[in-house]
Amino acid sequence: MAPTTSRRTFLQVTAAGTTLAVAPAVLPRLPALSGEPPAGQVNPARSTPGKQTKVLSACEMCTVRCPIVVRVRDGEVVRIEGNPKEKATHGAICARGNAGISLLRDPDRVRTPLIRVGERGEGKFRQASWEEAYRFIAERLTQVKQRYGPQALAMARRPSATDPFLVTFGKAFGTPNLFTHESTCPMARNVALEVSYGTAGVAIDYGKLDYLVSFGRNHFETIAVPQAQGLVGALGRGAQLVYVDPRHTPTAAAATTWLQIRPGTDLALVLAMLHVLIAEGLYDHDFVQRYTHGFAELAEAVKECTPDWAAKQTGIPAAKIREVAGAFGLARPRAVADFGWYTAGYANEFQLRRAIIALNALAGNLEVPGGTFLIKGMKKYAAELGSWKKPKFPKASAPRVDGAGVPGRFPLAPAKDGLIQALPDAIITGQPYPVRAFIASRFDPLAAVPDQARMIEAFGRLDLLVSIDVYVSDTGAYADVVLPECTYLERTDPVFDVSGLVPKIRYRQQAVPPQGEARPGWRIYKELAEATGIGEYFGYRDIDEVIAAQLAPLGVSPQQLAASGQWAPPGFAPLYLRGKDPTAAVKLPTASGKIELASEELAGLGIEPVPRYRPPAQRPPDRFRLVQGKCAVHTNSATANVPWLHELRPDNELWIHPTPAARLGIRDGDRVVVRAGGHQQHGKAKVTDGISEDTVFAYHGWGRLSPGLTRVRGRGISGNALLPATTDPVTGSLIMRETFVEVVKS
Amino acid sequence: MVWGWPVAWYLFLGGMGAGAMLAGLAAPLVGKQYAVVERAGAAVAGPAVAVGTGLLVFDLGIGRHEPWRIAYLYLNGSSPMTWGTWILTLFVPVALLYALSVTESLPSRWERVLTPLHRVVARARQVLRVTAGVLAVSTAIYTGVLLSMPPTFPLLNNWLLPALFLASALSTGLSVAVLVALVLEHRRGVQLGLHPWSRIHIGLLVGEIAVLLAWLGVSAGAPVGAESVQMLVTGALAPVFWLGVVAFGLVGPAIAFVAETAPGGHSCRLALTGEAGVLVGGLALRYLVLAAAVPILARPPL
Amino acid sequence: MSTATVAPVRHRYALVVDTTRCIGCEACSVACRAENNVPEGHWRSRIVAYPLGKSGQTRPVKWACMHCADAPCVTVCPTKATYQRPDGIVVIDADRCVGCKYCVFACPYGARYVDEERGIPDKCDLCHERIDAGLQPACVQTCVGRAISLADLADPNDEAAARINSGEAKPLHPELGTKPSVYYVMGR
Repeated sequence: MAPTTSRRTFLQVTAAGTTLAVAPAVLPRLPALSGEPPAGQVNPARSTPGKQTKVLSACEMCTVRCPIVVRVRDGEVVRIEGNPKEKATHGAICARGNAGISLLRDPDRVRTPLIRVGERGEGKFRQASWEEAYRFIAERLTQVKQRYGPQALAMARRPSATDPFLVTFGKAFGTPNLFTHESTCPMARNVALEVSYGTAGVAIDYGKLDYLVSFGRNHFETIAVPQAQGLVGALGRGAQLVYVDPRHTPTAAAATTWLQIRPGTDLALVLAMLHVLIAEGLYDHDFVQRYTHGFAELAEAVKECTPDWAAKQTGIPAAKIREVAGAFGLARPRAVADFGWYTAGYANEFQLRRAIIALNALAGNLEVPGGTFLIKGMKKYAAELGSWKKPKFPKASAPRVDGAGVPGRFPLAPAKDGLIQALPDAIITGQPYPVRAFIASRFDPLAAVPDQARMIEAFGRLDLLVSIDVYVSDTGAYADVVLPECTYLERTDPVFDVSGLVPKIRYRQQAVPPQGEARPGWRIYKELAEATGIGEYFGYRDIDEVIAAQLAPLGVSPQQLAASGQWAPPGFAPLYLRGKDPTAAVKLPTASGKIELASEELAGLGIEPVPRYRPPAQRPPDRFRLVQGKCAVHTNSATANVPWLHELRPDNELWIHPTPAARLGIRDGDRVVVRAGGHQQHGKAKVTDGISEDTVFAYHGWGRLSPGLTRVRGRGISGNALLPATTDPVTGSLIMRETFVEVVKS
Repeated sequence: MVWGWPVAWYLFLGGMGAGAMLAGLAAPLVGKQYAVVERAGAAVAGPAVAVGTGLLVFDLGIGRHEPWRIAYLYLNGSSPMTWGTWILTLFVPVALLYALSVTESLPSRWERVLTPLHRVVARARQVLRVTAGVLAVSTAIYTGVLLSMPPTFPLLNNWLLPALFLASALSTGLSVAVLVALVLEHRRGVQLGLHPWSRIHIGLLVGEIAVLLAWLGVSAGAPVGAESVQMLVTGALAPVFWLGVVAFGLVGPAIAFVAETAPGGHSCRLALTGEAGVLVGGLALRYLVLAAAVPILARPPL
Repeated sequence: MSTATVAPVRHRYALVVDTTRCIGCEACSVACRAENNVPEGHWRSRIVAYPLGKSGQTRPVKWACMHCADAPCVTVCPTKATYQRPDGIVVIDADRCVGCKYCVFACPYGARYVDEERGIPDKCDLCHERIDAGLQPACVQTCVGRAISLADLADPNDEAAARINSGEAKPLHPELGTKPSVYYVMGR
């Protein structure tokens, strides 16, 4: 175990040192026995006092990357605070952001390169030098490349500021098979946005809206601080929130109206809302005419979708549907239907997101305050970020193994993200071609992707599995080599674009030296590339050089950026293209240049060009629909082992409604077994009417496998150990809420 | 439980020591032949309270490791703990001096040292008697006041708790005084007539039962107090309550004392069993008072 | 803000927690934990599910020391280690404490824990060092919903204090008679 200075040992050391140095003075200190206590004691354990430096940086406890101020005293991080100058957060950061120190100090972190000595999954490793680890990886990569071609390497990550290095490595190596986690999360939404707006870069102006309908976008538990703060502010002003979810979440509790919908039927509700808006003329005619394409087809499609029809599908009374649709129509243009976040749910998810986009179009809310807006990116509104010099990449040696973006397979799925769930099949069957090496970068497919058993089987067949991470994750436990990446507090990352209504960049600045042997991603990929013979693509000396190259076109110095942590063009006010003139030109990158309510692109692919209803899969009797979600204090599986956050929520529970629970003899707190597809998970029941009778729910991120995750290993239920990896043929997204499980008392 | 077994033992020993002193002081009033009870009570009081005080110090956090901090305990006149600190500080030496003043024979090993002191305290016996009496009553009651003062635990936050502690102190104190007296007399081959003591003890037990019932009644009337009472009477603590407090501590001894005082009684063994039961019951009661205290507001996970 | 004012400014601090803006995310809990180096297994402040009437409904409520004007912990502390500053903040002088735990026993709000390693009880002290340095308490600064405000009752222009004075923000369980200085807006 690498040495870590915990606060406790630090205090003891200090105390001991003090005693030795000034022993006589530490003898019984009896202030005047007057009874009046001395004023203003200073506790040295506190983070506030003492001489400190402040490092402006960006959080990485989730992918939102809020701006932070890291306070450092004597080479130790003493506090992480939100950057008070950021107007979208006012200095706020969430529980996870505040717990960055706990991650930094976690003794479970991996601090030296490890090479596996036991069986895959056993978690038995020996420590190795970086040189040896690089050599080991490079040798196997070279063998794989020689025998199977460069496309036999797959790399996966959660999108982060390290991406440029990973992507450069992959492209330089010659493989097209670079994956993100997107197909497990927002892919259906993003594809729907791409198809409808021509870009996924569409966002919501939460702070200024008057009416929000959210279809399971659980803002107050799946927290993006700027969004949550904006929405709280709007609600405080009297904005209405209609929240649609079979589960009673913190967002449901805060909502003006909570609609406990039948799972998977949201599309019927949206179609009925469209029906009411059109039938009652509550939509923005001018906007529809000027900025949308295919309204007539849409109107035709929702003609029969009356509130009475939708009531039968959704279980929500027709009068309520009329009321919500009417209020939405009246509140336009500051009425918004949330596009959603985690949309790897149902088979009808893509059309649901398309229908939600249509709701926004009918409200005419594009590019007005309190509506939806196109992200004002750096490239278009300021200057494109530069990059370090590198040779031209070789042409990828094959089309993507998963067919993402490949005509005839998943043409709409973004090729930059891929379908991570398709990887095990390719590895196991060798079809369409063999994949023999896999590098997972701060991403844990065993925890994050359904059909865990198949993934484990696939890992067993690899010639090389590398995990680059801060922990020995579940995937790490199966890896041949684990490379210790340092945490976000110990490294500087490239500048990244965080534009919204204003073009803006932010960057992550190193606050303290890396612990143990941990190294930053920019260095790991550079050194690994050098060992693999593709070092010429990493011609930078260090991260400062990378940043200087990025900033060059902007005329901003690295010193300027370091002092503020972020940068926006001076004087650039929040830009709403239709803010002053509701008829202003907004050219969208679609075929029609407008919002495509009906899409010829889809029709050409044999997909419904306008949304039509498709009911969710039928639930077999005595089975439950399994639904997973996020809790406020964890970022999925990534933070489950972080000590403070683990203390706040050490385990997940299986939410089950009292009626079925009584039928099964399950009481609150009982141990239960959840079974599906020949797999089973053990956990604890939470009997609550906060979940529909036909559904069971568990927070995601537990039921972990790795011995390296000492706090959470074996705790709670892993949904992904139960779910099959079902892929939506339209978007390539996973479908994770159409699986039915058996629940019994154990 | 903020305070656990060490404090429960202290509450028991402190009460018992104070009660033993009071039993001893009462002995001359019961009969001239009971001087041995006076000596026994006085002899037990100081050491019992001193051991209890030791447990309190043991229960301290940083004060256990840095005992000089205990000096601060004397400073807050509004805190029952400060009152208690003064009371214990004074009671233990006064009780020991009083014990010395009434002793018949000094231990031979210490005779040389103690004789002059004995001469002095014997002369001050009357002052010591009054002082010890006042301090004993204070010792018996202040713990009840200490526990009853904050609004936190409805079971404790009432004036019947000090009364209950006093009753329990008198009862356990009398028991230990009689037990020790029996041992001392037995060693000298004297048979001590226990009838009057048993009668007094029956009275004390009846009084204690009445206070206990009143206390439970008042507590059961308070919203959260009812939860405490339920824990004691039918809940998790019921076995200790019914067996320890009621059977061993109150009803059992009462029956034993009635049998002992019945015509043809005179069973030393019966009395002995009764006295022992009272002590067990006394300890159980002090423990339960701490264990059954349910806070008025649900505790946050701090 | 500067501490170098010529005339001493008198303050009377209170906290206003607007539960209608609280999303229960526990950012405050962790910020407090980090700011104050709270030992493993303990928190100075947490979110509790506070019951609203008898409906079974709950509201997330930030729960910590209430800084009572008539604080049982101050009354019962035998050493005066716990005392109330003139500005209303109830603090613990660790140098004076013996660790008798009477304050832990006496607090009806359950706001104190024992730091076993130091043998000293501890609790929220409103980050008084931060306040003294012109900063907001950690919980106030980090609050995602901007639900927590530091009020100065001695300042007639203080917006948060106005919410107290108008009766919009009320203490929890005033019937305990301790006169808490943490005020809650419970709203609808």
